[in-house]
Amino acid sequence: MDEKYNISQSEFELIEQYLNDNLDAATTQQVLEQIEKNPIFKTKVDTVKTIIAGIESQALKNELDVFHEDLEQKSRSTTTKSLNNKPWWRPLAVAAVIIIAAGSYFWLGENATDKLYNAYYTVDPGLPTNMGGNTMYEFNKAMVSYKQGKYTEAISGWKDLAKQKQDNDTLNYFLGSAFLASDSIENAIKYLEKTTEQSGSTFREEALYYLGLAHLKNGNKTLAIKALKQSQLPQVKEIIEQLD
Amino acid sequence: MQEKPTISMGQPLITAIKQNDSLGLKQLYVTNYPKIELLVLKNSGTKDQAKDVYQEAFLALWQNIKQDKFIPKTESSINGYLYTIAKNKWMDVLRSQGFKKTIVTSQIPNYEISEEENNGIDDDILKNQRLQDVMQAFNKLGEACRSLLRMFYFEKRPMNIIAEELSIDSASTRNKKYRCMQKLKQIALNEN
Repeated sequence: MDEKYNISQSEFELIEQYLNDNLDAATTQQVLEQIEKNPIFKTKVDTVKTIIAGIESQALKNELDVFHEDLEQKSRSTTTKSLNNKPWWRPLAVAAVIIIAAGSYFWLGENATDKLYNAYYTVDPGLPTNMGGNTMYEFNKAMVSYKQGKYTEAISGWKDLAKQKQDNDTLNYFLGSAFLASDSIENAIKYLEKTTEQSGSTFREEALYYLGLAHLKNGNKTLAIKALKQSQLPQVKEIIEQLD
Repeated sequence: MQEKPTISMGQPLITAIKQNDSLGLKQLYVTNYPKIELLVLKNSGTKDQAKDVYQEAFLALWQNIKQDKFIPKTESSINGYLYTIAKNKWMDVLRSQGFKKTIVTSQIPNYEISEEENNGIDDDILKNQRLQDVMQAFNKLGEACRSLLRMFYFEKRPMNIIAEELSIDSASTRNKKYRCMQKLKQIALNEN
């Protein structure tokens, strides 16, 4: 690409309209003459053409990966019906957690914090994804990876987004959740703490809960209790009772 | 999600490809992949290799249809073209890796594509280095720019609709788009 030529906004838009056949006959003629007579202008037209083709090609390439994930997901779901992304999952996951917790009460002994963590921890089921092609595209793509248990891929996708949106609680919460699921506890704590710092976040209760569990996993009872006590989730009480 | 309508004629599919219609592209992708996977797996390849070869072939098909280098008359000639590009690409991989194993080409079905439809199978479009630079640069853009440029150039949404979604006016959206293009150009240049 030729960097010598700066393309102004009006020039860029003119070339773009020309390439899209959106100019009237007279203006098209003028552009064609310019291309013929002015080699610099011709280079600019080629540059804009390449840029537009590059954007389109890469956007499609990214989309193909999503098609492929879907294809693989479908072939998996013919053998197992384990994947479901409906929102009503979330309360079910919570219910499952409580049932497991009731059973765990009897065998608490050594390494109590670790055992409690194992009894109560279940990965957040994630959010439903809509691949209709919108501004959430990159986020959803990483969510697909997360739901498939490809946490490293999900983390890499969300981290890119988080560079622009450091205070986005949804991103921070799922980054924390993905790190926790991949046993990267320090990172999980970092992102979950960020989420809990936002008082209006819809993920605050869950973030506090998982933050507490992350501290449990680290063997830090005091910090675990501190986080758990701030969460309103029903299962929190039971954990605290078992810790006291 | 609603089931997508089946595209049975060549023409609507060509329009779908040219307009980057997500449903049409997905249907084409999903329908043709199993054949290519089978071809690659039967000929010393892995599933990941099948995916790579197929996606490269898919992009080449898409580009060639958009640029009228390939003017298919029916949907089956689109499928045949895609298969042929993928097959050629896989043969190249096998040759370049020095596979000793003989490939029995007669076992690989061929599809008839008439001369008038096919203006010479060209699968080299993506070997254009400048295009590759822009493609790589696009993925390095921030999410806001990537999303805006994607909506405009890939989804081909009208400017006023994009402006509405971003909650800014059309003029600001145009300015923003121009700044994103400048940034993209800059990243693509710096990597050279």
